[in-house]
Amino acid sequence: MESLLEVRRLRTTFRAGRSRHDAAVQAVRSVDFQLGRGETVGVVGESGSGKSVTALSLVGLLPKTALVEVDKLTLDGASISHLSRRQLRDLRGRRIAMVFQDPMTSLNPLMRVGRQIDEMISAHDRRLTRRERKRRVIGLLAEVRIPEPEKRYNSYPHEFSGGMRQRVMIAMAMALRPEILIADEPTTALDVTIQDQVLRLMRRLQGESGTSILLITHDLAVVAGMCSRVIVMYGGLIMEEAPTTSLFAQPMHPYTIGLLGSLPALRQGQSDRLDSIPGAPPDMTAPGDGCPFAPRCKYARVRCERALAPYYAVADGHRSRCWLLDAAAPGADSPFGEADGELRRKVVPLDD
Amino acid sequence: MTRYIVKRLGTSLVTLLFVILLTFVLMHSVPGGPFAQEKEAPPEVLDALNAKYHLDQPLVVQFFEYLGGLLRFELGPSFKYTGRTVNDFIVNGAPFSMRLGLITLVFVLIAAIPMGILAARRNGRWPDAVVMIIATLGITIPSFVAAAGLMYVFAYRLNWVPTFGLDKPTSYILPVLALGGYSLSFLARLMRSSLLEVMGQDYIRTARAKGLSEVRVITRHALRNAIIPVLTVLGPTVAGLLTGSFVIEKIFAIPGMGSYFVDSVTQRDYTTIMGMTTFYAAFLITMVFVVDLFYRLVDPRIELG
Ligand SMILES: Nc1ncnc2c1ncn2[C@@H]1O[C@H](COP(=O)(O)OP(=O)(O)OP(=O)(O)O)[C@@H](O)[C@H]1O
Ligand code: SF4
Ligand SMILES: [Mg+2]
Repeated sequence: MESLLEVRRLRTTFRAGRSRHDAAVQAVRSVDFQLGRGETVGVVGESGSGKSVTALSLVGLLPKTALVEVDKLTLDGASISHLSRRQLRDLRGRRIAMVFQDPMTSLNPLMRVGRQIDEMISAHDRRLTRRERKRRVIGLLAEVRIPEPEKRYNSYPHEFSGGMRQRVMIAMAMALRPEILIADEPTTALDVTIQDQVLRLMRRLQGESGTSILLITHDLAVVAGMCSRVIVMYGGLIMEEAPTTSLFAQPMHPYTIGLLGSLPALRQGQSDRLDSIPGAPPDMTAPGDGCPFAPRCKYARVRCERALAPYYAVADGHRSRCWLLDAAAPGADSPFGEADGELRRKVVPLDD
Repeated sequence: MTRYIVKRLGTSLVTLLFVILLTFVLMHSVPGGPFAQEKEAPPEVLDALNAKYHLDQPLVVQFFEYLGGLLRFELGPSFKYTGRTVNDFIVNGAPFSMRLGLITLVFVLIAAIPMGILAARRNGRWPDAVVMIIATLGITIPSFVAAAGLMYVFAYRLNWVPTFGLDKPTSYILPVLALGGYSLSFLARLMRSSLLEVMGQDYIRTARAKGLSEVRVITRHALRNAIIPVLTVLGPTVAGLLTGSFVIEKIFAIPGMGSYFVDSVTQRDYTTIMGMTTFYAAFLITMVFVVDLFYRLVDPRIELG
C-alpha cells in the first residue's frame, strides 16, 4: 500500500513545571509507523500510554509545555515536521482533520452548529460565498443523517444528543475531504447502539472520500470491526504492530496478550477501559532503560529490566518489541504457545 | 422571552415591596424620632408636627399612605428641611451620582476586560505580573483610603486635578479611580482566570484543529465564553459601585444622592431614608434585571421561560 503518512522516531515530552529541574513527562518515547492511503489503522493501549499525545503531536495541537521531536514526518512524501505556523494551520482540517472523544465538550456551546462547520470551510476556502458555504454545510449535515438539516443548521450544541454532536464533529472533520482523519476515541463517550452508528458513518464517508483513518480506541471490538492494522502502545512506545487478523490470532507480546485477555470483560459491558492487567502503568517521568512492561510482565527476566528489546519481525507487517522473541531466549513457559520454537526461528530483529 | 420578562417583573416588584416594608419597620422600631432632638419644643408643637406629617396615625395607615404616594411618584416632604421634598433631593443629586456611577462602570469594563485578556494571554510573563499586582492592590486597599491617597498625591501635592466637586472633566478622574478600583481589580482577575480556563477547553482545541488562526480562535470562540462569568457578576458590581459612591461622594464633596442619604440616616429624616432606599432598591433591581436579560441573550443554553 502506498504510504501517505510516515512517522519516524517521534518523541514528545512535557515540561512538568516552571523549574528546569522538574522531571519531564516522556509521554511519547519513540514512535514510528506508517499510514497508507485509504487505510484504517487502530491505536490501542491503556490509559496514559501516549495515544492522544502521539496524535496531537502530528498536527502541533499540544500546549506550549510540550516539546515534540521527530526524525521524519512526511505527508504524501513531503516533510511536515518543520512547518511555519501558517503552513500548519493550512494543513489542519484541510489535509489532516480530527474528531475527539467527548462530543459534549468539543463543540463551542455559544455558536450555532452550522456556523461551526462553516468555519472549517471558510478557514480554508476564501472563494466561496456565505450562501454557497451554507448550502454545503446543510449538505454535510444531511450526509451525516442529521434530520431537518436546514433547521438544525441554526441549532446550538446543547440542543443535540451526544450521538448527533459526534456526527456534527464528523461532518465538520470530513467537510474538506481530508486525506487523514484522526479519530481519538470517537465513540468512547457514546451509548453502545450509537457507537455503532457513528462507526458505520465514518466507514461510509471513508469509502466515498478515500480518507485514511487513524483510529485511537480502548475498544478492541472496534478495532476488529474497523481496522486493517493495529498499533499497540505502552509507556509511550509501540509494543506490537500487526495486521488486525494476525494480532487477534497470534498476539506476539505479553502486553497484547493481556489486553486481549481483558476483551471478554469488555464485551459484557463491565468496563470500557482496558484495566484488567494487574499492576500500575509506568512512571513516565523516569522510564529507565528496560522494558516498561517488565514490572507487570510475568515473563520478565533480568535482561528485560536492563534493556529495551528491539523490534522483531514475526511475519510480514507484524513486529513486536519483546525479548522473548530473541533467538537466545529459552522457550519454556512461552506465552506464544506450542508453535513457539518454530515461530521464533522465523523471527528476525529489525534495526531501530 | 415575554413570559420570562413578565415573571421577572413580578418578582422584582415583590422584592421592592419587601425592601420598602423592611426599611419601614426597621426605621420605626429604633427608639427616637425625627423631632426627638428638638427638646425645647413644647409638647403641643411636637403634636402639631407629628400630626402634620401623619406620625400620629397607626403605623399600618402610615405605611399604606406611603405606598399610595409612591404610586404617584411622590416620596413625601423632608422632615428636616422644611419646604423641600425627597423628590427634590433625588432630582438634584441623581444626575451627579448617576453620571459618576455610569462613567465608573464604563471605565471599569473597558479597562478590566482588556487587562484580564492581556494577563491571560501573557500568562506567567511580565504583563500578567503587572496586571495581577494592580488587581491585588485594588482589591486590598479600601476605597476611602485610596480616595485619600489619590487626593493627597494628585490633587494636593501635584495639583494635576481638582480636589473636590465635579466642575471640570478632570474632576472625575480621582473619584472614578477610587470608586472603581475594587470592581476593576475584581473583574480583571475574573476575566483572566475565566479566559485561562476557557483556553483549556475541548472546543478551543476543536477550533484550532480546524486550522483557524489564533486571533480567530480567541475572538470567535474564547472571548464570548470567557465573558459569561463577568456578565454574571455585573449586577453585584453595579450594586457595589452604587453603595460605594456614598463614601466617595462624601470624600470628594460631590453633591450626589449619597450625601443626602448619609445625612438623612443620622438625622432620622424618615421620609428621606425611605425615599432614598426605595429609589436605590428600584434602581438596583432594574439593573440586575437588565444584566440578567443581557446575559441570557448571550448564552443560548439558558432557557427563557
Ligand atoms: N498537556 C499535558 N501536560 C503534561 N502531561 C501530559 C499532557 N497531556 C498528556 N500528558 C501525559 O502524557 C501521557 C500520555 O497521555 P495520553 O493522553 O497520550 O494518553 P492516552 O493513551 O491517550 O490515554 P487515554 O486512553 O486516557 O486517552 C500521560 O502520562 C499524560 O499524563
Ligand atoms: S521484554 Fe520482557 S518484560 Fe517486556 S514484555 Fe517481553 S518478556 Fe515481558
Ligand atoms: Mg487519549
